Amino acid sequence: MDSTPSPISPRTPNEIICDVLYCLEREDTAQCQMVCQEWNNLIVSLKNLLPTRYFNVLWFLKEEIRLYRASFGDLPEFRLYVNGTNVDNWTNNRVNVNQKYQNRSAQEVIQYLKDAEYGNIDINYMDTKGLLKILKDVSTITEGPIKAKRSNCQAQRLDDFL
Amino acid sequence: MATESANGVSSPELNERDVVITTNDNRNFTVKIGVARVSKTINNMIQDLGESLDLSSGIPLPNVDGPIFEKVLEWCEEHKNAPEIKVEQDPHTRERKWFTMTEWEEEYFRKFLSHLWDLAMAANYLEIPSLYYYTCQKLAERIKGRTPEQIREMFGIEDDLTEEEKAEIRRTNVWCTY
Repeated sequence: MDSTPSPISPRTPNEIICDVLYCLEREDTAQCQMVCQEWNNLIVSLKNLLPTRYFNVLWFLKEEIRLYRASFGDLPEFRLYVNGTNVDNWTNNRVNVNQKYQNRSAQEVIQYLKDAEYGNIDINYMDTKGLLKILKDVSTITEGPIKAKRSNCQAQRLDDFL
Repeated sequence: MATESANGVSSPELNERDVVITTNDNRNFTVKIGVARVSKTINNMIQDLGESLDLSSGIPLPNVDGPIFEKVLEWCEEHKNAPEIKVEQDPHTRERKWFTMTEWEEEYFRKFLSHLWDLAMAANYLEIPSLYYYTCQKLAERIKGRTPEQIREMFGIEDDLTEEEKAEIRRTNVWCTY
């Protein structure tokens, strides 16, 4: 019985590599980008077709931002403590709950929100001034719109609140 | 399956007949038509040839070699009466939903682990959706959770990315732990 991994043939059509990539999560295709130029170019060109990262809920609540991958019932991906009334330096705060983010600043963790799809954006309990500052900082750090299928407000994009 | 015929014989009877298939290394395989038809490519050839199909002179397969075709035939024999597979994707993440494989299929891929890319290429050319998509899934399974170095080593790929290109990839995937 063969037990060694399969070497790839240089004549393997891109179509096959694409069909392999479609089976992977975005985190895995990101690893594949670092394999070689050909794979990287392929993944970049397929950006809008390949699997994306998906988070069910991005929740802004009093003094805290939470990100849930699947549902409210699960452990959040992260909880980021924010002082709603003093938000000048909130991006230097540390992150709680998930070991993956320990010792990272809010600024670093917010970058994690880039390049993903969201089911819901929920905004609750923050004072308006603090909220606007935080949303503005998030939009700046992520360098683009964060949009969700649903939200508990009128807008579906974070920058629509600004 | 349509009741098309070749040599004036109806489909169920035709399926029991033998046809010779010749691979690119000039190996001849005598195969039941019902098994060969799992490949849409071969099925189309049989349909196109119709009355003029000469079962003994052989259908040429210029893009597949004998050792791989042997493995493909094992799959076709097992799947000759299997329904068409349905490819689905997660509506949120666009990730393709993974198929649940039978014990026979798992064993098949364990046996031919070192030929996954060749099997995918053959299944793609021969248009055998079940073998093609299942093989792609098996390749994805090998990649999942591995680092770029491990993937390169596994598939014999050379690292030809420059440091600048790597820095750009890191910049665009800042959420990824490289």
